Amino acid sequence: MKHFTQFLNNLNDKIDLPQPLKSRIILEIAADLNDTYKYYLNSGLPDSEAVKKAKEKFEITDSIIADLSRLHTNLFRQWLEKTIGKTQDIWERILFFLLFAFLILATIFSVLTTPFLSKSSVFAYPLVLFFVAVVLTWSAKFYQLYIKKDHNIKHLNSGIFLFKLFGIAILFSGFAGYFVELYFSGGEAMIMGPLFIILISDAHTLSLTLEFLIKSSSLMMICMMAILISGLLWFSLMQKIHAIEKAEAEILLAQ
Amino acid sequence: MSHNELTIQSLSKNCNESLILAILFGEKKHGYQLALEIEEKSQAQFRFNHGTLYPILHKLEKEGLIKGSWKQEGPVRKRKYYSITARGKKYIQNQLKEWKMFYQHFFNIVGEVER
Repeated sequence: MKHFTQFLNNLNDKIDLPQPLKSRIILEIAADLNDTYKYYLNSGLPDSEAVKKAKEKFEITDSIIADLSRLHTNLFRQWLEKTIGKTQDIWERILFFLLFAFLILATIFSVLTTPFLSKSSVFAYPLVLFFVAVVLTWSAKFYQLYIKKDHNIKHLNSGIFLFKLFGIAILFSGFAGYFVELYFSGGEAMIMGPLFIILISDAHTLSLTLEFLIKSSSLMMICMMAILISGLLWFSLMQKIHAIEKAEAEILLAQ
Repeated sequence: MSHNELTIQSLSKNCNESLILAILFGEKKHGYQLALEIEEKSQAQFRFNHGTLYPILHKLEKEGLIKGSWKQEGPVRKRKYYSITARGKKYIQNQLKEWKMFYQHFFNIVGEVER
């Protein structure tokens, strides 16, 4: 089968279909290609000639690939490709972008002005922005893997590192915010074994400490919620990526 | 079934589909066997570029006229075999009638040159 590795790799690059469907099609072609090669070999042709003839017999033209893609593309994807294909005009694209940006900004604004968040520490704002970045990264990967169905192995893990980066940024904002708020609360913090104690010396410190408790507890809740959801989003993508990689590995093994 | 009708425009498509279904009427076969058998039985009159076979096979499978199943051959090799379904059998029988009618009309016209 090594004679056809390049041929099959080219085919793999050309076929724009999701996994495991793409691997199955290539697997089917690979087996038939190998049989054709053996047939020519058995009929007395030298090895190089048998390879050449088999490749000629299996010429997969662009129109064949287009037919296969059309056959295996669902109605939603066909509609999406049609819609995107139609938006060739630059003004239409700008309009779509503005509409999308407006929706994102409106969502961020409505989230940031909720009482729970407005009473929280100022550190909640960068934290929420990092979380929005996680959601946007996830949306882009979701589009790539589930809607555009670009399962090219080279692009599969692109952008995944951003989840770790933004995850660390979320945790850092949360914990840094907690300690900064604690510092400004005026209380004297002490760590005694497993206990974390704040010493309150006067009424002013008491009000600052109460304010700190409200701010830090909401900040921590937002931080934990954001990191939990980010983790789930990352996990959902990794599951899909692993499934695609597994299908690719299967076809490589079969080759 | 509207896709049953044989027209001048659909001649090539119907011809390929009918050949594949007819070859599958006996037993399950994989793509390479199909192409080879069609070539042998037609004494190379019908030659397939094997690449063109897959869109036809996958279309027939989607329409439920044939059924594909994977079979393990050896330790790592897998092959996809196709078999005709009951719906496929009915379809090819209708196609046979259509082809007979088509040739009858064709020879009614072209055969006049011999009269």
